[in-house]
Amino acid sequence: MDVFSPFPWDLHQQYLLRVQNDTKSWEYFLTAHKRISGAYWALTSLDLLNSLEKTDESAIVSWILACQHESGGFGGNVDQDPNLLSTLSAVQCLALFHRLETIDKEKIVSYVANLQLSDGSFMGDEWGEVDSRFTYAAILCLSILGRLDAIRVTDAVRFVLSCLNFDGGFGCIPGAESHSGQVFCCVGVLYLTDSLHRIDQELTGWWLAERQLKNGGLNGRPDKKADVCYSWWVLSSLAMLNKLDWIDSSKLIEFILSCQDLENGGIADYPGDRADVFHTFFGLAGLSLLGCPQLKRIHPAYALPLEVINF
Amino acid sequence: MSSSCSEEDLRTKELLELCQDIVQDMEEYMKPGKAAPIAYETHFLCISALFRVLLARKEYSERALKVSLEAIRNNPADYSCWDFRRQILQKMIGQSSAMLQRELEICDQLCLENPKNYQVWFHRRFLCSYLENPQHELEFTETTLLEDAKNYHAWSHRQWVVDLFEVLGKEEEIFSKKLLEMDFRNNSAWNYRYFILFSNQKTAVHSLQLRQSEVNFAWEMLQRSWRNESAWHYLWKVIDHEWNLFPWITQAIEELKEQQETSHNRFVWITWFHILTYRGETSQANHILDKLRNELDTFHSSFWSCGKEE
Repeated sequence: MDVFSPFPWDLHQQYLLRVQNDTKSWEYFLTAHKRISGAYWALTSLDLLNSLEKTDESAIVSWILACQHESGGFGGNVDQDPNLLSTLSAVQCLALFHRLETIDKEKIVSYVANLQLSDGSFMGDEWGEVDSRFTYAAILCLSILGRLDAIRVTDAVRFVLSCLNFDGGFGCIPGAESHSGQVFCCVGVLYLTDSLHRIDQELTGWWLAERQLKNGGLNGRPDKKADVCYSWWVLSSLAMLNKLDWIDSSKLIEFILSCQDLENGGIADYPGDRADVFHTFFGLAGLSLLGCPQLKRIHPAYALPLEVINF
Repeated sequence: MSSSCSEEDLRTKELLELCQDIVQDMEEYMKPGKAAPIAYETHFLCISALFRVLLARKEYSERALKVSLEAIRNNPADYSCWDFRRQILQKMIGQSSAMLQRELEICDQLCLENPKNYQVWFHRRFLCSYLENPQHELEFTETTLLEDAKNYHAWSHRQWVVDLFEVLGKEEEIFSKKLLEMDFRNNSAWNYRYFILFSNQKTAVHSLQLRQSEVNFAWEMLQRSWRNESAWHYLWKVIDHEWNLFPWITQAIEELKEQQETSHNRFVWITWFHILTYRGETSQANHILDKLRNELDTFHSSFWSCGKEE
């Protein structure tokens, strides 16, 4: 019996291509400032669906490069100031198109390295906000570029470990509540820096396993509703800890599939809600980790198809 | 036309008058090709274009402040609007406490309207660098949390403020208790309580007496519902495997597993498993693992399959 059914992958492909070209919609206009992250979600989804060649590669790459500043960092769109999350999205998109060799990597490396503070944490941009998400963005960006040596890895890891909570989860700053998104970022950092042995992996794995609810979906913290985006953040964390079998896969697959828009394509956060690019990406990424045959395999830490990562 | 629509039009008209000398520069940003929706509302596009002109001119003025606010109201998630506003404020706010007060009021309103928006919460942190005491921030986060008791931004902001201003632990302990009385399952409140009493370097005072009173507190909450995930985690962590120090708890667990109401409660049995492990009663502990895997917690059967003690 095919557990990955119904899965109208062609409708999802059409949805993603349609949404990218729908430049006259309000949603498109209002999300202009973070378009580069939107591009990453859409393009990676299309690549997972084996449809990246349907996009206009040279136009997209030119536009991404136009988002880069003198400092080496990228903004969310051509008229936006640079920040770390957009820089990561830009590098991920360029990796998808195998264009990393055509850019000045060192400029990006120095932009990222300059955002590290004395306690090892990273700011999101020149304004100084600190959040463990930014450490993940920095570490992943430099891992893709092969230049982890450019930052103080020990200090970065120390900061992430300081965000570890009594329940095995991680928060955005030391002491902040454990949250699935933050756990993904912190476990990702530890994975990419070969530091997973520094934590009690069983305790963290248990916290993650507890995110699964009766409806099969995963939530972000205790006593909250399930949301498809956690299918990625919780699942990839478990994959990095080698504990993917600690959740009930078939129930989770059922939940993700029930969030699909079976008429127009796309995936929503919850059954019955409206689809969006963000949740479409995370739903597809989750299904990829769970072994869906119509999708390419995705790497849990890099959040890119396996074949894109050069080892 | 609704009255709110004409209010926006009125504000737009006022701002255009204020910026008369640069209105002609707006044209470039209002051309059809520049990623504008077909059915745009005039005031939205005007403000967006006006903002771009001021940004390009690097004009850090009062009128630029006004325009940036309107642009933020139109799209509170737009990073560049907040960025520009902060650049202007940096130049002006230090000299004017009235301006700081006004900015706090504006930020409060925007925050209440957009409680899950990263940019507006970060703006609060920016403003904190001009504050002498945390009173306003403590009051504001409390207001937000009374609306949505699990708002992640509000809790982490409160925590950040407590840390920055070195707020005393007693008041915050009372605050966490207040939120737990409202909802004893509120994981954010449990986490905050642990932060204040045990993990925050500046407020935590470690003592056995504190651990005992907190174990009693968690136990009292559990009696209201034995399925309270957060309360169990809190209890386990405060006890921290030192079961010999809490004999009344081990006694109570031993009884609970026999009572009808709780004999199938996985948390009770997980606790009993921890106690048996601590006591070195390995084969009995393994029996509990089997029970959890096969009967009490089948959802996590893979996890329980790994837990066998050698």
